[in-house]
Amino acid sequence: MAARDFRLTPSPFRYARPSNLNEAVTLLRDRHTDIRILAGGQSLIPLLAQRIVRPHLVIDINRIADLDQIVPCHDHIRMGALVRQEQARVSSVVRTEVPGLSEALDWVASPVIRARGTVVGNLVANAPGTELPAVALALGARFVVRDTRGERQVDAAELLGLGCRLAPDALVTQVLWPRNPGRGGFYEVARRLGHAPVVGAMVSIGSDRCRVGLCGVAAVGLACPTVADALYRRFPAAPDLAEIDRLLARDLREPAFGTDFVGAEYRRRVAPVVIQRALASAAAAGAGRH
Amino acid sequence: MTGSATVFGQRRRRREDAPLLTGTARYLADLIEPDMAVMRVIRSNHAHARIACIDFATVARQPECLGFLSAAELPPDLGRLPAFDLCESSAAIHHPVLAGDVARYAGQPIAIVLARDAYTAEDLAELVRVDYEPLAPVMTVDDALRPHAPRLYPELGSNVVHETTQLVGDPEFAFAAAATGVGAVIIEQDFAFPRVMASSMEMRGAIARLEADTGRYLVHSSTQVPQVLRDELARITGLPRERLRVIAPAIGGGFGAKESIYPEEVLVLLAAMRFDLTVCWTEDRVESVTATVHGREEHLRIRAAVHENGIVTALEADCLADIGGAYALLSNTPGAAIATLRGPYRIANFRSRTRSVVTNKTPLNVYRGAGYPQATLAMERILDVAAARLGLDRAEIRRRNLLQPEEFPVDRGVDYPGCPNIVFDSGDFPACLESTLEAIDYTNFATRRAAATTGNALGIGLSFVVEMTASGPAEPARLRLRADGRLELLSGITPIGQGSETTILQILAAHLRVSEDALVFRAGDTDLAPDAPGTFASRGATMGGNAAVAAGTAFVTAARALLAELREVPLEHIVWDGGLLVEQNGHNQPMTLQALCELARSAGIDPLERLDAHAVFPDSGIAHASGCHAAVVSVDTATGIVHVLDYAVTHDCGRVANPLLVDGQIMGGVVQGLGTALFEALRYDANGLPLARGFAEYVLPTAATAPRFALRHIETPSPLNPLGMKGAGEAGCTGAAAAIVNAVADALAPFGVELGCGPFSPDHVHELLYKDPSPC
Amino acid sequence: MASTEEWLPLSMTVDRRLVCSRVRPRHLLSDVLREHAGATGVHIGCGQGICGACTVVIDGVPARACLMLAVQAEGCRIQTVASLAELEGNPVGPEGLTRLQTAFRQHHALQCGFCTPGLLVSTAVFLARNAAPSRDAIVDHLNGHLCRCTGYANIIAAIESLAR
Repeated sequence: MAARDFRLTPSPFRYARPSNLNEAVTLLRDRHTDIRILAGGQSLIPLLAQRIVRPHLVIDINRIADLDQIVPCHDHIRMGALVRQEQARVSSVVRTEVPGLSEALDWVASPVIRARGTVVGNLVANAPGTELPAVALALGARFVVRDTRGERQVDAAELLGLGCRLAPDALVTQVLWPRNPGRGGFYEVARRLGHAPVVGAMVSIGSDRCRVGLCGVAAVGLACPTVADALYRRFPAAPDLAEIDRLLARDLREPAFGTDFVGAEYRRRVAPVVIQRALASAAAAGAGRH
Repeated sequence: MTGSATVFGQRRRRREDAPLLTGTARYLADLIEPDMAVMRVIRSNHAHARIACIDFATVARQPECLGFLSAAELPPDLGRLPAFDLCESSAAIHHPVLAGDVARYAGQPIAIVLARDAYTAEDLAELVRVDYEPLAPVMTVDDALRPHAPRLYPELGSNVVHETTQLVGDPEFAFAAAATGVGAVIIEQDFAFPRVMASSMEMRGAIARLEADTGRYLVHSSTQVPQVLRDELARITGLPRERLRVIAPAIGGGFGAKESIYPEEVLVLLAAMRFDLTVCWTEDRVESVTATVHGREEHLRIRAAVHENGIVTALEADCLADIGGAYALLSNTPGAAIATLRGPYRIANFRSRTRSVVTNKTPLNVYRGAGYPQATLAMERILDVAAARLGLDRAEIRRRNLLQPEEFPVDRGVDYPGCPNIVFDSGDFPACLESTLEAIDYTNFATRRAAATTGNALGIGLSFVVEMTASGPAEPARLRLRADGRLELLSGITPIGQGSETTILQILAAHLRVSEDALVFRAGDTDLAPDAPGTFASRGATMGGNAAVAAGTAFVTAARALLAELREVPLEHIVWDGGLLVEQNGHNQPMTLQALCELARSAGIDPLERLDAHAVFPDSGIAHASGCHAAVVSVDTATGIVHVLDYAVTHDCGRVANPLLVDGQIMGGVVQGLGTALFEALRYDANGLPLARGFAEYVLPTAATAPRFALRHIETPSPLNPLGMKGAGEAGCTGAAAAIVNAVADALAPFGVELGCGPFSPDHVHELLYKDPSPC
Repeated sequence: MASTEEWLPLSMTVDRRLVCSRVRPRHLLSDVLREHAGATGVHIGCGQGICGACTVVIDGVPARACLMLAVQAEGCRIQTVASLAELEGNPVGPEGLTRLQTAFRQHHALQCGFCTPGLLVSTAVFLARNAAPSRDAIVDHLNGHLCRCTGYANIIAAIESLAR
């Protein structure tokens, strides 16, 4: 960890509060090297306060209209950049149509943080080992990205993969979750219940396929298609730990990930257990599913 | 006014709660006003470095800069920080307020800047340029002891700054006998206790201002020891005592970490004096990781000789404490550990040695329990290991070794700084043990274990605590009548959240047989209690309570004497009866204090001057509290996660003034101990910087950690003080890690693992379970 | 340097009082509530959004004041522990304490009191939304609050006593 003697006050920056998206993206075009988007602030403010990031401009998008909607579309659920984590967590349409996501949100942070933190903000921050990026990668989510040239859709893998980042002049306005009604489950181990995730797994079992996402075994979230396919074929029977372990080995492409606090070996060893428990949770998921 | 003696022992709700609940209590940060200058400390970001140059040129040009100081700008005759070492044999090293030419720990104060607000102060701090010449950091005790290790203090010739030994009986003989004896075992174990942080929710802070009308400096600080702070500030700065007043406002937890005298407390005063400003400083959490003293880090090597019948015939300990780069109390933590190591067990032959070693880390001082938690864990672990080896039940081996009630008082044959002879004053250890075994349903545990669901390994662990409490120095108190008719107690016990006001006034109300509403409690102010040791070492309720009673007695005598004088009768004719003065053989009605005042005034006497009693309760020796702890844990063997299911404590702190508050202390202490056992360890990287910036990295217990509690009390009054009381503040913490370690060891016994002392994080447990066994 | 930073006007309601001031963009809401609105019941225990001591309610939603810029509160209605009666939906009792505060006192659910105001605010909102929470739900709610003194058992008991 870098030496520092910072108090918890941010360095100076300019502040803008655009009232619409056009204004926001116009501001982003500014050639200053560091502009940060402020939505929920639960990821950004600690970085500002510890002066880990020192932007010239902070763009507060909280007053932009129509970004806080969860809208069912024909093959996906559209979630605006200001949809709060708690809002998504309790949404019945999300629980039914995007199995695995609500269950993951049950484990994210704590109630007060979720009340303000946004789904998109958490995804774009892509902090190593966190739950939602792994879920987005596994479920094949897509982002709507807007800049002064217009709007386009981008696969989660393009933004959340290793070494990927959002262009400095772009803003994520929506995240699109494919509809795949079924059963979802999530399980996580941490250094203490409720502390930051060490390893977490999402299992989403839809009518046509299963998806498995894993956080904490790589620096970025991991989709585990080999594991997922095997789970789908066997469901409702479950493969044993040794087999999940073998299947996982085929999905692990990224370098092993460890922190100063929990090393890579534990993460790799416990991952099959976490997957197994997420699967059990999905299997036990309630009525109204396919 | 009249009350009852029975209020002692009642589960009184706290008087101090209303301002805390409504958010109107004033902690240090709440005393800051907009016109104050904010001090920001520039700290070393090297663990060990020569300070080549401190360049203020840029910051000095900023109009927002109200002042700056480094060691070069301080008065040359400025005193150094105190080292309250109670041992004559220790090295005389005193630390500077600001590092001069060498920084000896990351976080050590190098310089200060002043600005109008905290944000600007931080901006200015970033403009101060410090040039360091890094030196090789000494980051472990092993490193510090190597023959050619860098010396943190070259003039000392060694990194060992303190050493004491204990010797009881003939351990040499006992070990030799065990080595040759049939069926006896010798057990050896090493324990490496990590660094922990007290982590009170309120961090530190200080304010210094010149009072224009008196010419005195008023210093507010979030401190457990305002009187000691006042004396030390006077010594360091050269200001006469009378020109200083120190006030401790509402304090949001201390746990021993606010017991040191810190550089920042001196610096706000120096800055106020130098720049003629009111100067304030508050700590932030990132800063606190290196700026506030740490606790517990020591290496304890134990050897025990155990007869085949379970009797521990000899115990030997070698302790190395990592006390960091500077120190305020360098012998306390390890000294406490080796003095109390045998706990409640007879163990006739004992020798120990402790050494304090300086390293390039934040200074180490006491944290709730000081050295007792470590000693307890080591002793209790040895017993479980011995029991397993000998095929004895863990409760039975303890039974066989416990001192019995009829042996009291027991001279332990060891000493402790300030206490030449440790004598257990009272206790009933066997009763504590049996009570706790019952509370944890010990006899049915095997059934419970067998019924556990697959993948969950249940374990049970015991520990026994004997704790030194109610220490000296002597405790003053003053009781006086106020103009509004209430009695005001001026106490030397500075409350830090443990409910001193309620407890001490309950004691006083019971003694005087007056209503608690007739009493007022004031503390934390050197103007009100000029000389007092402060709040630490579980002494508050016992010493403060006994001192209050002594002051109450003196007050009663003063009131009786005043009426006797006014009535021209002998003192013995006047009796105190629950706030009323009754004349024996007289024709007058019982007199209230108010009426006494009127009578006195009519005779030309100022009653408030007379009805003002001082008393001092002497240092009466250490009252030993004790208790037996038991924990049931469940280990999820697939993930390594440990759940603490049940926790039972039978605690003996003599006569209990307020069981509600004592239970609160025990539960709070236990959960802190669980934190140490399961989550908390502050580690350093290879460069000597801590691997934590706050609670994202340093994991604290939450509500999910709290077990189901079963708390019981046994009272063996202490003969050392009239109230028969003993302290309770540290007991929960002292026994918890030991009980947890034993329980985890029990849960993992079928897997044949060998345990250290934790913390038992999931990955550590997992590693114990699944790492390849070493070849036999 | 800081002197070239802009000032922005800020107008918000704090515990039913209109507070108008000016702030820098980087000023945190926790600091501004304490210093401009006198809301010293907002405590700073970590400044990193973990301990919960700074919890307030903004337009009906609980939030960590240390994780917001003050300017974000423009036009907002903020309630701190001073508005606890309002948050609980019933008036204070004869001793000037709300039902929740009384339960905390009864159960000795506080010691140093530093974590208490933020915890009370957060719990009032929690109970308003969950009239009869299970112990697990209470523990989950408390996950966002650190207390170093009590060991949590009495806090859980105090909240359980109100869960009917």
